[in-house]
Amino acid sequence: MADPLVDVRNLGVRLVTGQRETSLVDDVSFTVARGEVLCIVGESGCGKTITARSIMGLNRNDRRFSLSGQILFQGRDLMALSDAEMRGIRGTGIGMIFQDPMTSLNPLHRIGRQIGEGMRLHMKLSEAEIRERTLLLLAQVGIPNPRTRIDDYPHQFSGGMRQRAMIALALACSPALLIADEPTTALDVTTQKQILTLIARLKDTYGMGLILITHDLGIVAEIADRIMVMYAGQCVEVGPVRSVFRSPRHPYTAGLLASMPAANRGRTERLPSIRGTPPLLAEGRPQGCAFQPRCDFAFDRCAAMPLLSADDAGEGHLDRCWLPSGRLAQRDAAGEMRR
Amino acid sequence: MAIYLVGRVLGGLVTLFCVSALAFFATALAPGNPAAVLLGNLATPERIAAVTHEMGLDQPLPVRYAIWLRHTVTGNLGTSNLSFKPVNDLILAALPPTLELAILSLLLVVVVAIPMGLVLAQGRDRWWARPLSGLVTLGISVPGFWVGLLLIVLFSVTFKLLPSGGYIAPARSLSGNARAMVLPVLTLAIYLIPALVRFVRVTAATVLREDYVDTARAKGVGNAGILLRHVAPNTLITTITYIGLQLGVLISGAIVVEIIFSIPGLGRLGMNAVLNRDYPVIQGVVLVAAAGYVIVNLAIDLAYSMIDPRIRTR
Repeated sequence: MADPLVDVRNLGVRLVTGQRETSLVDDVSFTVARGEVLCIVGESGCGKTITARSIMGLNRNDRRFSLSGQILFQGRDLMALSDAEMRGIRGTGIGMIFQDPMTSLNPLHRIGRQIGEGMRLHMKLSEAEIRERTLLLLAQVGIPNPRTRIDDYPHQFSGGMRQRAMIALALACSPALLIADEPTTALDVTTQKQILTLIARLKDTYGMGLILITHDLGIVAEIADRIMVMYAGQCVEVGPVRSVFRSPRHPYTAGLLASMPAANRGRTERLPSIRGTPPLLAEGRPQGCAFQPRCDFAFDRCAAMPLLSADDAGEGHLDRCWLPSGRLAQRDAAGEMRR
Repeated sequence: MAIYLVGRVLGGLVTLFCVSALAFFATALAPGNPAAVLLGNLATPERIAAVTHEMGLDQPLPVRYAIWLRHTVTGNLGTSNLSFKPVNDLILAALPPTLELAILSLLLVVVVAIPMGLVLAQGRDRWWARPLSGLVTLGISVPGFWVGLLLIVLFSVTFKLLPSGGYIAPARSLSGNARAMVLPVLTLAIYLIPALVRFVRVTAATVLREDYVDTARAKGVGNAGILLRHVAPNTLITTITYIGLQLGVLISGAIVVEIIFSIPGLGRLGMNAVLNRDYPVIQGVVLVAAAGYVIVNLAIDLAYSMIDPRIRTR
């Protein structure tokens, strides 16, 4: 992966409200290559969505936010682009799928018109060609009878179908990178899996890079190449999904994995959970490791902020924790035996 | 859709019936005797009693209402106590100036206020945001009649450019009509614009925060496209309803403007009728104004279903 599709370097997002400044995203770096799937996980309010919106530049003209760092997309720094140049990237270079399909589509425009709008802006196609491609896209995302549904309005679509239409909309101009921000959170359980599988399949069809923000660790295990765990606006652990799942090095990652229900896990009295809640960043970042107050492993060094570092060589598995690697595994094994 | 329409029309008729009762009893209960006003200097108790009987005013209120309602339903609004002309004729003669004033003002209001509100919704950090919203606040604070007087002082008295009042029918002289209407229309529009600007600004600002605006941005749509294709239509839906509800303000504003600029319209007709206790005319004017309000709002409901597909298919 010599030439990543998107290379986010030291992204920082600060929220300025009156006199106060809050750091919402702090020093986040990652890369995604063509064909690669990066999953970003973490509890709500950890900066995942803001990270995604920053790549898309959706908050670049919002005076409340101040952004720092670099977002290199195909070698160009998105933050340095003009608004007009950025508009050229949106849709064609990067496509985005949002959380709530019930509100992400304009209620007054027909589905086909909404999918075609991006093509009309960016591609030199005739109206007939746009309609032809829209029908193809609708078929690709699994909408039955595209020819009759293309002229429907969003309210005539179910939630799952609207999200399928959103996917078609995001793919309309064949972007190189697709960002999906919790695309299934607002859907019912039976459609969640279908939508995620669809996204993963289309990622291969279109040969895109994919940034998937999700809570569903089961899906992460299935489709992710790499996983980034975010906590309190920071990346606390990042690495190949296999390595992170097999030997998590940050207690937060371990906690998330432990709280995952699965059919094949040993029966315990209760599903384990991480005690407490993430810090409210608006009230100021805690001193030292942000996870320390909730951590079972906290010791005196945690008063200082740990750096994102690799404990051993290789694989690009980094974590932000003072615990020596292996310690977590030992304790985990001990806990396992106690059960 | 047909059922919905029938329901709306029936609702409108009920409203009109209530208005008719209100208009009738409110005027009848107001102090003052039309017979005394009519007789003026000639009034003696005997003559007043005779005229009161002649006009049917000595009958019990419900009976008078029933008689009036019967005539009204058949399209006869009675005869003026003052001029002895049919109220129908008086209202028909007064309608064109009022309609012209109202329609031209409303057009001006819509053409100015909606773009202004949309532009202001873009944010407070643009350079034009402050002066524009200052102007809006000023407009809301200043009474409409005062603006009219100022315009007269400026354009009629100082510069002698435009007539300070009166009405010329377009059939008689189109340019004369236009010159006579400029100041009244301007006055009424200035009175109505600020409130609509504020409404559109707030509504459009809400629409701008909608998720589908993010979707449009993520497609690479520019600011103009976002505003025209996504924000404006979604803002218009609520704005149209608001304009319909503001029709009452338009009517009351038109009355003030007609009096300032001595336009022989419905407002002036009604105002003079009130001053002279001319019951049939008062009731007729109120009823016609209410009917206008009901009809326009009915039309807006229909327009609504044309803009919003969610209502159309219901």
